[in-house]
Amino acid sequence: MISRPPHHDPERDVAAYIAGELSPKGVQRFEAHLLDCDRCWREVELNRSGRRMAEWSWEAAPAHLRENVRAAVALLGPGPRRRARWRLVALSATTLISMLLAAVLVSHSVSQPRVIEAALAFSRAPITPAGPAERPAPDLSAGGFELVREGVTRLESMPADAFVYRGSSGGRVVLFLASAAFPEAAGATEHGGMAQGWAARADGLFLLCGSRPTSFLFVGTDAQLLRRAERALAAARVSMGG
Amino acid sequence: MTESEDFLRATLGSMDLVYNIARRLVARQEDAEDLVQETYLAAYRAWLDHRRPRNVAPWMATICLNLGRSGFRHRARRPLEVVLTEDVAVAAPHGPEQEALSALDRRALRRALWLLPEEQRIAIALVDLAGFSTAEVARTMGTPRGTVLSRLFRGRRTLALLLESQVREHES
Repeated sequence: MISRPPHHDPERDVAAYIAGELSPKGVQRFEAHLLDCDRCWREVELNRSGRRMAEWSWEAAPAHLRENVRAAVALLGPGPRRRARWRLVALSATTLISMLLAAVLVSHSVSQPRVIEAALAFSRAPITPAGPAERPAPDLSAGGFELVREGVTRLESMPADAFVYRGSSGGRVVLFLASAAFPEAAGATEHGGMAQGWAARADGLFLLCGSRPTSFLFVGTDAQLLRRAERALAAARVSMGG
Repeated sequence: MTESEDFLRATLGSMDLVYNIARRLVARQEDAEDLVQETYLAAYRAWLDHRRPRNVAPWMATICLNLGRSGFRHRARRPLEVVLTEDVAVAAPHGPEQEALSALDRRALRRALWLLPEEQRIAIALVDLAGFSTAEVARTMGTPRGTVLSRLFRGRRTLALLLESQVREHES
Protein backbone atom coordinates (compact mmCIF):
# COMPACT_ATOMS: atom_id res chain seq x y z
CA MET A 1 0.00 0.00 0.00
CA ILE A 2 1.23 3.47 -0.89
CA SER A 3 1.83 5.78 2.08
CA ARG A 4 0.39 9.20 1.39
CA PRO A 5 1.11 12.44 3.26
CA PRO A 6 -2.11 13.84 4.75
CA HIS A 7 -4.16 15.80 2.15
CA HIS A 8 -1.83 14.57 -0.60
CA ASP A 9 -1.89 16.82 -3.68
CA PRO A 10 0.91 15.74 -6.07
CA GLU A 11 1.11 19.09 -7.92
CA ARG A 12 1.43 21.20 -4.79
CA ASP A 13 3.56 18.70 -2.86
CA VAL A 14 6.07 18.18 -5.68
CA ALA A 15 6.32 21.91 -6.47
CA ALA A 16 6.74 22.86 -2.79
CA TYR A 17 9.28 20.05 -2.29
CA ILE A 18 11.38 21.17 -5.28
CA ALA A 19 11.14 24.81 -4.16
CA GLY A 20 12.46 23.71 -0.72
CA GLU A 21 9.33 25.01 0.97
CA LEU A 22 8.07 21.94 2.81
CA SER A 23 8.62 21.87 6.58
CA PRO A 24 11.28 19.41 7.83
CA LYS A 25 8.45 17.04 8.87
CA GLY A 26 6.76 17.57 5.50
CA VAL A 27 10.01 16.69 3.70
CA GLN A 28 10.38 13.54 5.80
CA ARG A 29 6.78 12.47 5.07
CA PHE A 30 7.01 13.28 1.37
CA GLU A 31 10.34 11.48 0.92
CA ALA A 32 8.88 8.40 2.62
CA HIS A 33 5.94 8.63 0.22
CA LEU A 34 8.29 8.95 -2.77
CA LEU A 35 9.79 5.56 -2.04
CA ASP A 36 6.36 3.98 -2.58
CA CYS A 37 4.90 6.12 -5.31
CA ASP A 38 6.29 5.78 -8.83
CA ARG A 39 4.13 8.60 -10.16
CA CYS A 40 5.36 11.16 -7.64
CA TRP A 41 8.95 9.94 -8.08
CA ARG A 42 8.69 10.54 -11.84
CA GLU A 43 7.08 13.94 -11.29
CA VAL A 44 9.89 14.96 -8.92
CA GLU A 45 12.48 13.92 -11.51
CA LEU A 46 10.69 15.84 -14.27
CA ASN A 47 10.32 18.93 -12.10
CA ARG A 48 13.99 18.84 -11.08
CA SER A 49 14.99 18.53 -14.68
CA GLY A 50 12.65 21.36 -15.74
CA ARG A 51 14.01 23.62 -13.01
CA ARG A 52 17.60 22.98 -14.13
CA MET A 53 16.68 23.83 -17.70
CA ALA A 54 15.02 27.02 -16.52
CA GLU A 55 18.17 27.89 -14.54
CA TRP A 56 20.33 27.47 -17.63
CA SER A 57 18.22 30.01 -19.46
CA TRP A 58 19.54 32.80 -17.17
CA GLU A 59 21.04 35.65 -19.22
CA ALA A 60 23.22 38.51 -18.09
CA ALA A 61 21.87 41.94 -19.00
CA PRO A 62 23.87 43.52 -21.85
CA ALA A 63 26.57 45.89 -20.58
CA HIS A 64 25.20 48.84 -22.56
CA LEU A 65 21.82 48.53 -20.81
CA ARG A 66 23.33 49.63 -17.49
CA GLU A 67 24.68 52.79 -19.14
CA ASN A 68 21.36 53.43 -20.90
CA VAL A 69 19.55 53.20 -17.55
CA ARG A 70 22.05 55.56 -15.90
CA ALA A 71 21.56 58.06 -18.70
CA ALA A 72 17.75 57.76 -18.62
CA VAL A 73 17.65 58.28 -14.84
CA ALA A 74 19.98 61.28 -15.11
CA LEU A 75 17.66 62.79 -17.74
CA LEU A 76 14.69 62.48 -15.42
CA GLY A 77 16.39 64.82 -12.94
CA PRO A 78 15.62 65.42 -9.26
CA GLY A 79 11.80 65.33 -9.54
CA PRO A 80 9.02 67.91 -9.06
CA ARG A 81 9.44 70.39 -6.20
CA ARG A 82 5.85 71.50 -5.80
CA ARG A 83 4.85 68.32 -4.06
CA ALA A 84 7.54 68.78 -1.43
CA ARG A 85 5.71 71.62 0.33
CA TRP A 86 2.46 69.68 0.44
CA ARG A 87 4.34 66.70 1.79
CA LEU A 88 5.90 68.86 4.49
CA VAL A 89 2.46 70.03 5.65
CA ALA A 90 1.17 66.50 5.71
CA LEU A 91 4.24 65.44 7.61
CA SER A 92 3.67 68.10 10.29
CA ALA A 93 0.09 66.98 10.74
CA THR A 94 1.19 63.44 11.38
CA THR A 95 4.19 64.20 13.58
CA LEU A 96 2.58 62.78 16.68
CA ILE A 97 1.72 59.49 14.98
CA SER A 98 5.18 59.32 13.45
CA MET A 99 6.82 59.77 16.84
CA LEU A 100 4.70 56.99 18.31
CA LEU A 101 5.60 54.69 15.43
CA ALA A 102 9.27 55.68 15.32
CA ALA A 103 10.46 53.21 17.92
CA VAL A 104 8.75 50.34 16.12
CA LEU A 105 9.98 51.40 12.68
CA VAL A 106 13.57 51.87 13.81
CA SER A 107 13.70 48.34 15.11
CA HIS A 108 12.61 47.08 11.67
CA SER A 109 14.75 49.29 9.45
CA VAL A 110 18.26 48.60 10.66
CA SER A 111 20.59 49.26 7.78
CA GLN A 112 23.21 46.65 7.00
CA PRO A 113 26.86 47.15 6.07
CA ARG A 114 27.13 47.53 2.30
CA VAL A 115 29.00 44.24 1.90
CA ILE A 116 26.15 42.45 3.67
CA GLU A 117 23.53 44.32 1.59
CA ALA A 118 25.38 43.20 -1.56
CA ALA A 119 25.54 39.59 -0.32
CA LEU A 120 21.79 39.67 0.39
CA ALA A 121 21.05 41.14 -3.05
CA PHE A 122 23.22 38.50 -4.72
CA SER A 123 21.52 35.72 -2.78
CA ARG A 124 18.05 36.94 -3.71
CA ALA A 125 18.83 37.03 -7.40
CA PRO A 126 22.23 35.54 -8.21
CA ILE A 127 24.02 38.02 -10.41
CA THR A 128 26.02 36.56 -13.26
CA PRO A 129 29.56 36.26 -11.86
CA ALA A 130 32.27 38.42 -13.40
CA GLY A 131 34.53 35.41 -14.00
CA PRO A 132 35.47 31.95 -12.74
CA ALA A 133 35.92 31.43 -8.99
CA GLU A 134 39.49 31.68 -7.71
CA ARG A 135 39.05 28.92 -5.14
CA PRO A 136 37.87 25.38 -5.84
CA ALA A 137 34.20 24.85 -5.04
CA PRO A 138 33.86 23.20 -1.62
CA ASP A 139 32.26 19.79 -1.97
CA LEU A 140 29.15 19.94 0.22
CA SER A 141 27.68 16.68 -1.09
CA ALA A 142 28.04 15.16 2.40
CA GLY A 143 25.19 17.46 3.40
CA GLY A 144 23.19 16.62 0.27
CA PHE A 145 24.13 19.82 -1.56
CA GLU A 146 24.69 20.09 -5.28
CA LEU A 147 26.67 22.96 -6.80
CA VAL A 148 24.62 24.85 -9.40
CA ARG A 149 26.63 28.00 -10.11
CA GLU A 150 29.97 29.54 -9.16
CA GLY A 151 32.10 32.54 -9.97
CA VAL A 152 33.99 35.51 -8.67
CA THR A 153 32.01 38.59 -7.70
CA ARG A 154 32.39 41.89 -5.82
CA LEU A 155 30.35 42.50 -2.74
CA GLU A 156 30.46 46.28 -2.91
CA SER A 157 34.27 46.71 -2.83
CA MET A 158 35.08 43.28 -1.43
CA PRO A 159 36.14 40.54 -3.89
CA ALA A 160 34.65 37.14 -3.07
CA ASP A 161 34.00 33.76 -4.65
CA ALA A 162 30.31 32.89 -4.76
CA PHE A 163 29.01 29.32 -4.87
CA VAL A 164 25.30 28.59 -5.25
CA TYR A 165 24.16 25.16 -3.97
CA ARG A 166 20.84 23.36 -3.93
CA GLY A 167 19.92 21.09 -1.02
CA SER A 168 18.37 17.67 -1.70
CA SER A 169 14.90 19.09 -1.08
CA GLY A 170 15.52 22.04 -3.40
CA GLY A 171 16.40 24.84 -0.94
CA ARG A 172 19.10 27.21 -2.17
CA VAL A 173 22.19 28.24 -0.21
CA VAL A 174 24.82 30.74 -1.32
CA LEU A 175 28.35 30.44 0.05
CA PHE A 176 30.75 33.38 -0.19
CA LEU A 177 34.48 32.86 0.44
CA ALA A 178 36.80 35.83 0.82
CA SER A 179 40.33 36.64 1.95
CA ALA A 180 39.17 39.40 4.29
CA ALA A 181 36.69 39.06 7.14
CA PHE A 182 33.03 39.83 6.38
CA PRO A 183 31.64 42.77 8.35
CA GLU A 184 29.18 41.76 11.05
CA ALA A 185 25.53 42.11 10.05
CA ALA A 186 23.33 44.43 12.09
CA GLY A 187 21.49 42.46 14.75
CA ALA A 188 23.97 39.55 14.58
CA THR A 189 24.33 37.19 17.50
CA GLU A 190 27.32 35.07 18.40
CA HIS A 191 27.22 31.72 16.63
CA GLY A 192 28.52 28.82 18.67
CA GLY A 193 29.00 26.52 15.68
CA MET A 194 32.22 25.01 14.47
CA ALA A 195 33.44 28.21 12.89
CA GLN A 196 32.89 30.52 15.89
CA GLY A 197 31.31 33.36 13.99
CA TRP A 198 27.97 35.15 13.97
CA ALA A 199 24.45 34.49 12.77
CA ALA A 200 21.82 37.01 11.74
CA ARG A 201 18.51 37.43 9.97
CA ALA A 202 17.88 40.24 7.48
CA ASP A 203 15.28 40.86 4.77
CA GLY A 204 13.80 37.41 5.27
CA LEU A 205 17.15 35.70 4.74
CA PHE A 206 19.45 33.98 7.24
CA LEU A 207 23.19 34.62 7.39
CA LEU A 208 25.85 32.46 8.97
CA CYS A 209 29.43 33.70 9.06
CA GLY A 210 32.72 32.23 10.25
CA SER A 211 36.44 32.63 9.80
CA ARG A 212 37.83 29.10 9.97
CA PRO A 213 39.56 27.78 7.93
CA THR A 214 38.93 30.88 5.82
CA SER A 215 36.47 33.72 5.90
CA PHE A 216 33.04 32.44 4.78
CA LEU A 217 29.44 33.61 4.70
CA PHE A 218 26.39 31.45 4.06
CA VAL A 219 23.11 33.08 3.01
CA GLY A 220 19.79 31.29 2.53
CA THR A 221 16.11 31.19 3.37
CA ASP A 222 16.29 28.27 5.79
CA ALA A 223 18.35 28.46 9.01
CA GLN A 224 18.45 24.66 9.39
CA LEU A 225 19.74 24.26 5.85
CA LEU A 226 22.53 26.78 6.56
CA ARG A 227 23.61 24.84 9.65
CA ARG A 228 23.67 21.64 7.58
CA ALA A 229 25.75 23.41 4.92
CA GLU A 230 28.15 24.68 7.57
CA ARG A 231 28.64 21.15 8.90
CA ALA A 232 29.23 19.89 5.35
CA LEU A 233 31.79 22.66 4.79
CA ALA A 234 33.64 21.69 7.96
CA ALA A 235 33.61 18.06 6.83
CA ALA A 236 34.80 18.92 3.33
CA ARG A 237 38.09 20.35 4.59
CA VAL A 238 38.91 21.48 1.11
CA SER A 239 41.89 23.68 0.46
CA MET A 240 40.33 27.07 0.96
CA GLY A 241 43.48 29.16 0.88
CA GLY A 242 42.86 32.82 1.62
CA MET B 1 25.18 61.58 -2.69
CA THR B 2 22.40 62.64 -5.06
CA GLU B 3 18.98 61.00 -5.25
CA SER B 4 19.79 59.39 -8.58
CA GLU B 5 23.12 58.00 -7.32
CA ASP B 6 21.38 56.69 -4.23
CA PHE B 7 18.68 55.09 -6.37
CA LEU B 8 21.14 53.51 -8.82
CA ARG B 9 23.32 52.18 -6.00
CA ALA B 10 20.28 50.48 -4.48
CA THR B 11 18.80 49.11 -7.70
CA LEU B 12 21.50 48.37 -10.28
CA GLY B 13 22.31 45.07 -8.53
CA SER B 14 18.84 43.89 -9.59
CA MET B 15 19.38 44.60 -13.27
CA ASP B 16 20.08 40.99 -14.32
CA LEU B 17 16.97 39.92 -12.46
CA VAL B 18 14.76 42.58 -14.09
CA TYR B 19 16.25 41.79 -17.49
CA ASN B 20 15.50 38.08 -17.13
CA ILE B 21 11.90 38.79 -16.16
CA ALA B 22 11.55 41.22 -19.07
CA ARG B 23 12.96 38.59 -21.45
CA ARG B 24 10.12 36.29 -20.41
CA LEU B 25 7.46 38.94 -20.80
CA VAL B 26 8.31 40.28 -24.25
CA ALA B 27 9.71 38.38 -27.17
CA ARG B 28 12.41 40.55 -28.69
CA GLN B 29 15.63 41.47 -26.92
CA GLU B 30 15.25 45.15 -27.92
CA ASP B 31 11.77 45.25 -26.41
CA ALA B 32 13.03 43.57 -23.24
CA GLU B 33 15.72 46.27 -22.96
CA ASP B 34 13.06 48.96 -23.39
CA LEU B 35 10.97 47.31 -20.69
CA VAL B 36 13.95 47.25 -18.31
CA GLN B 37 14.52 50.93 -18.95
CA GLU B 38 10.84 51.76 -18.35
CA THR B 39 10.97 49.72 -15.15
CA TYR B 40 13.92 51.73 -13.86
CA LEU B 41 12.26 55.02 -14.77
CA ALA B 42 8.99 54.05 -13.05
CA ALA B 43 10.95 52.90 -10.00
CA TYR B 44 12.96 56.14 -9.95
CA ARG B 45 9.77 58.23 -10.08
CA ALA B 46 8.44 56.26 -7.12
CA TRP B 47 11.81 56.70 -5.38
CA LEU B 48 11.64 60.48 -5.82
CA ASP B 49 8.13 60.30 -4.40
CA HIS B 50 9.65 58.66 -1.30
CA ARG B 51 8.15 55.26 -1.99
CA ARG B 52 11.29 53.28 -1.13
CA PRO B 53 11.13 49.59 -0.41
CA ARG B 54 13.07 47.76 2.25
CA ASN B 55 13.61 44.98 -0.21
CA VAL B 56 14.57 46.24 -3.63
CA ALA B 57 14.61 43.07 -5.76
CA PRO B 58 10.93 42.03 -5.32
CA TRP B 59 9.91 45.68 -5.73
CA MET B 60 11.73 45.99 -9.07
CA ALA B 61 10.39 42.59 -10.18
CA THR B 62 6.82 43.67 -9.39
CA ILE B 63 7.17 46.95 -11.31
CA CYS B 64 8.59 45.11 -14.32
CA LEU B 65 5.85 42.51 -14.16
CA ASN B 66 3.08 45.10 -13.90
CA LEU B 67 4.49 47.20 -16.74
CA GLY B 68 4.99 44.14 -18.89
CA ARG B 69 1.45 42.92 -18.30
CA SER B 70 -0.24 46.30 -18.64
CA GLY B 71 0.15 46.88 -22.29
CA PHE B 72 3.89 47.26 -22.80
CA ARG B 73 3.81 44.28 -25.11
CA HIS B 74 1.20 45.87 -27.33
CA ARG B 75 3.74 48.55 -28.08
CA ALA B 76 6.50 46.03 -28.71
CA ARG B 77 7.83 46.50 -32.17
CA ARG B 78 8.19 43.15 -33.85
CA PRO B 79 6.41 39.78 -33.85
CA LEU B 80 7.35 36.76 -31.73
CA GLU B 81 8.47 34.53 -34.60
CA VAL B 82 11.66 36.54 -35.07
CA VAL B 83 12.85 35.99 -31.54
CA LEU B 84 12.74 32.22 -31.77
CA THR B 85 15.73 32.31 -34.05
CA GLU B 86 17.81 34.31 -31.57
CA ASP B 87 20.76 32.74 -29.85
CA VAL B 88 21.04 33.33 -26.11
CA ALA B 89 23.95 33.19 -23.70
CA VAL B 90 23.48 30.56 -21.00
CA ALA B 91 25.49 29.98 -17.82
CA ALA B 92 28.72 27.98 -17.68
CA PRO B 93 28.36 24.22 -17.14
CA HIS B 94 29.21 22.16 -14.03
CA GLY B 95 29.23 18.36 -14.00
CA PRO B 96 28.15 15.81 -16.58
CA GLU B 97 24.40 16.58 -16.46
CA GLN B 98 25.01 20.28 -16.80
CA GLU B 99 27.45 19.61 -19.66
CA ALA B 100 24.61 17.81 -21.39
CA LEU B 101 22.26 20.68 -20.62
CA SER B 102 24.66 23.27 -21.92
CA ALA B 103 24.97 21.32 -25.15
CA LEU B 104 21.23 21.73 -25.67
CA ASP B 105 20.30 23.73 -28.68
CA ARG B 106 19.93 27.16 -27.09
CA ARG B 107 17.27 28.13 -29.53
CA ALA B 108 15.33 25.03 -28.51
CA LEU B 109 15.57 26.07 -24.86
CA ARG B 110 14.27 29.52 -25.62
CA ARG B 111 11.56 28.16 -27.92
CA ALA B 112 10.44 25.71 -25.24
CA LEU B 113 10.20 28.51 -22.67
CA TRP B 114 8.03 30.52 -25.04
CA LEU B 115 5.75 27.54 -25.62
CA LEU B 116 4.74 27.66 -21.95
CA PRO B 117 1.67 29.67 -21.01
CA GLU B 118 2.77 33.12 -19.83
CA GLU B 119 1.73 32.61 -16.20
CA GLN B 120 3.83 29.42 -15.99
CA ARG B 121 6.81 31.12 -17.64
CA ILE B 122 6.64 34.02 -15.19
CA ALA B 123 6.25 31.75 -12.14
CA ILE B 124 9.33 29.79 -13.25
CA ALA B 125 11.30 33.01 -13.85
CA LEU B 126 10.46 34.40 -10.42
CA VAL B 127 11.05 31.19 -8.41
CA ASP B 128 13.74 29.28 -10.33
CA LEU B 129 15.68 32.23 -11.71
CA ALA B 130 15.07 35.02 -9.24
CA GLY B 131 14.94 32.81 -6.14
CA PHE B 132 11.72 34.26 -4.70
CA SER B 133 9.59 32.12 -2.43
CA THR B 134 6.24 30.97 -3.77
CA ALA B 135 4.54 33.15 -1.12
CA GLU B 136 6.37 36.24 -2.49
CA VAL B 137 5.42 35.30 -6.04
CA ALA B 138 1.80 34.79 -4.99
CA ARG B 139 1.78 38.36 -3.62
CA THR B 140 3.52 39.75 -6.72
CA MET B 141 1.21 37.97 -9.17
CA GLY B 142 -1.89 38.50 -7.05
CA THR B 143 -2.81 34.81 -6.97
CA PRO B 144 -3.11 32.18 -4.21
CA ARG B 145 0.12 30.32 -3.37
CA GLY B 146 -1.48 27.04 -4.47
CA THR B 147 -1.93 28.48 -7.96
CA VAL B 148 1.75 29.46 -8.08
CA LEU B 149 2.76 25.93 -7.03
CA SER B 150 0.52 24.46 -9.70
CA ARG B 151 1.95 26.77 -12.40
CA LEU B 152 5.48 25.88 -11.35
CA PHE B 153 4.72 22.18 -11.42
CA ARG B 154 3.14 22.27 -14.86
CA GLY B 155 5.69 24.65 -16.36
CA ARG B 156 8.75 22.71 -15.18
CA ARG B 157 7.15 19.43 -16.23
CA THR B 158 6.35 20.68 -19.73
CA LEU B 159 9.83 22.19 -20.11
CA ALA B 160 11.45 18.90 -19.10
CA LEU B 161 9.25 16.86 -21.44
CA LEU B 162 9.88 19.22 -24.34
CA LEU B 163 13.65 19.04 -23.96
CA GLU B 164 14.14 15.61 -22.40
CA SER B 165 14.93 13.80 -25.63
CA GLN B 166 17.61 16.34 -26.54
CA VAL B 167 19.33 16.03 -23.16
CA ARG B 168 19.26 12.23 -23.44
CA GLU B 169 20.79 12.39 -26.91
CA HIS B 170 23.65 14.57 -25.63
CA GLU B 171 24.20 12.31 -22.59
CA SER B 172 24.42 9.12 -24.68
